[in-house]
Amino acid sequence: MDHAVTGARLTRWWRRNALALGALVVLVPASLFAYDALGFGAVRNAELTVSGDEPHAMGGMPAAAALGPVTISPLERDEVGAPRGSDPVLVTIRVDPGEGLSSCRGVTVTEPSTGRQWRTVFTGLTWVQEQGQEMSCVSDAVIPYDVVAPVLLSDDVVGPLVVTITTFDQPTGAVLDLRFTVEQ
Amino acid sequence: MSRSLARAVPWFVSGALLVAAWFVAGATPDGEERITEPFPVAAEIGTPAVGRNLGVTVTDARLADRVTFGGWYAEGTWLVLDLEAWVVHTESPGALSAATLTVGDRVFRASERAQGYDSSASLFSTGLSLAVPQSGSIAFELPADIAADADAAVVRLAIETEFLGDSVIELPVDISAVERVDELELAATEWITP
Amino acid sequence: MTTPEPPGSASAAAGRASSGAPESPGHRTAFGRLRKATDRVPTKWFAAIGTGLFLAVTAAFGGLAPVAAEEEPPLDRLVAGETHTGEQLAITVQRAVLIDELPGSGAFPDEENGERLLVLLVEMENLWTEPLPASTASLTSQVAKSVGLSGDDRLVVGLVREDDQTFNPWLQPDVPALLAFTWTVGPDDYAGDQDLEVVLSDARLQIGSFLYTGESWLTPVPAAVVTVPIEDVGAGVEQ
Repeated sequence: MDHAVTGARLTRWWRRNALALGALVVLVPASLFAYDALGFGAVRNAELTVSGDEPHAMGGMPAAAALGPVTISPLERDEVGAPRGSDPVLVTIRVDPGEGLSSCRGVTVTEPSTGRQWRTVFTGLTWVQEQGQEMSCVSDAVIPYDVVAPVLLSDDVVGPLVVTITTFDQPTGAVLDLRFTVEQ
Repeated sequence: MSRSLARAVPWFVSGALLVAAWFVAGATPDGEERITEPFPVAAEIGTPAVGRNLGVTVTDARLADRVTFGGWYAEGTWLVLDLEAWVVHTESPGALSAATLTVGDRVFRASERAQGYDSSASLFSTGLSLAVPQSGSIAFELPADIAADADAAVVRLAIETEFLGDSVIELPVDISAVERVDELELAATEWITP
Repeated sequence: MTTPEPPGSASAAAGRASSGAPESPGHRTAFGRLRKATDRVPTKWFAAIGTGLFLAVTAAFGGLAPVAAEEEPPLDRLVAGETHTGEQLAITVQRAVLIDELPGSGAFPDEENGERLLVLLVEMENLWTEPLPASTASLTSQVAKSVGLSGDDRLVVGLVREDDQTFNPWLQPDVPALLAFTWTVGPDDYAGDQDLEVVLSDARLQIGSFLYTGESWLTPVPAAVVTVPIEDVGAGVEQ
């Protein structure tokens, strides 16, 4: 008999609050959706962090393209005309062309301990690329090549550093921020 | 009687809460606009001013009737600022994209004219470095009667083009008291350490 | 028609009734009371009430009758050298020149097809309180649309400062600038010694108030026509 009374009380509670509960069921997911969809202007690509010591395949297919390894090598300050207090380096990313990679852009170097971020210097350095070196991914290449980016690092940088490059795959529309950890 | 009073109490309480809510809403800042308001950093000539990412030291401000850079020249009324600029956190984005002079209710944009001739003629829209500051100049082309304008003048510099949600360096300038020259050669953009 | 009973007394009456009396469960729960209350609203009046509200609201906005299109005021007729002052810009058309090519104008005629350039020298002054881009790019071409060729709706191709050929220049507030507006035209579109009619349009400032903040300029509307003789300088260099 106790169970019957409690059961009846419970049903009454549900019925009395039916309107409010219905509103909650609609509004809570709607609020979560709106909060997520607003985005506040931030757009993030998919991210993947890999070691810079070995190539990374852009997919499981046998004809998949591969990026890496990544090296950071110093440049002669006087040769390139870099100012005192800077550490000019050349970031080199080996690219093996194939599927999953249509183009790439935006080489940046990040110092994880401080969050500081450098990017390629387009002007101000006397530097010319050599044979086999490209400034960004070539869509119709057949043989492996290097994507190179001269960067003016600060001279108080502490490694290991992260080299990030954004890759695009036109057929699938996939955009990926590929982050390579590199011992300096 | 006490019964109807008891029934009316929730209505009074709701009314009072609504009025209180109205006051609270009035006291809180307008939400939408405040999301994008910039964070001002006060600056003065000769002292470095550093925001979240942008660092600037304005070393001089002069008014000139004619400005030149190599083979380019322009006549008029020009306010030229000599400055050093750098970024503190990231170079991407890291260009001096916003440079305005606000005099009263008029806003002037740093001139792009000399840069069409030579990109190193101005630090405006120039990529800044984390490693080493660059020195150079920015110039504002102004109406001839600007020196007579008694309104307060402020130079605003920032990385973003619309001063949205990031630091903005604000430098007050007294245009009527600034040194005035007939002709001025704009300083080229270069590293502060060779 | 039964007079509506206050819900409180109805439930009290139901409570006082003996357990044998017929129960009206509607009186017990708020949901049921709501249902009973809506039963009493005369639904056949909904349409009338709705129509009445609609008419009241439209009356507040000026009524249902179509607004007769305003008579367009006649355009000001000016000649070269006269200034037209709008809300945003003060515009003075100085000269019109037909020329084979003009490096630095931002326009490149297709010489194989006999294309030539029609260049208008226009002095403009920004009367607003903020800088304006004088640009041919579609999103910012308000200023460019303020100067048009009568009977020819092609948008200007090259817009530069006459003195230092600055491309797509910014107009600073209250600083006049002499600009060169250039169109690519066919060999027979225009001829020297013809009178060219240049249509000057004014943009009106719209101040956001309800749904958005800030000010923006509406698409320019024709306000004046300037008659200027075309000078055909052949392949000659501009003075």
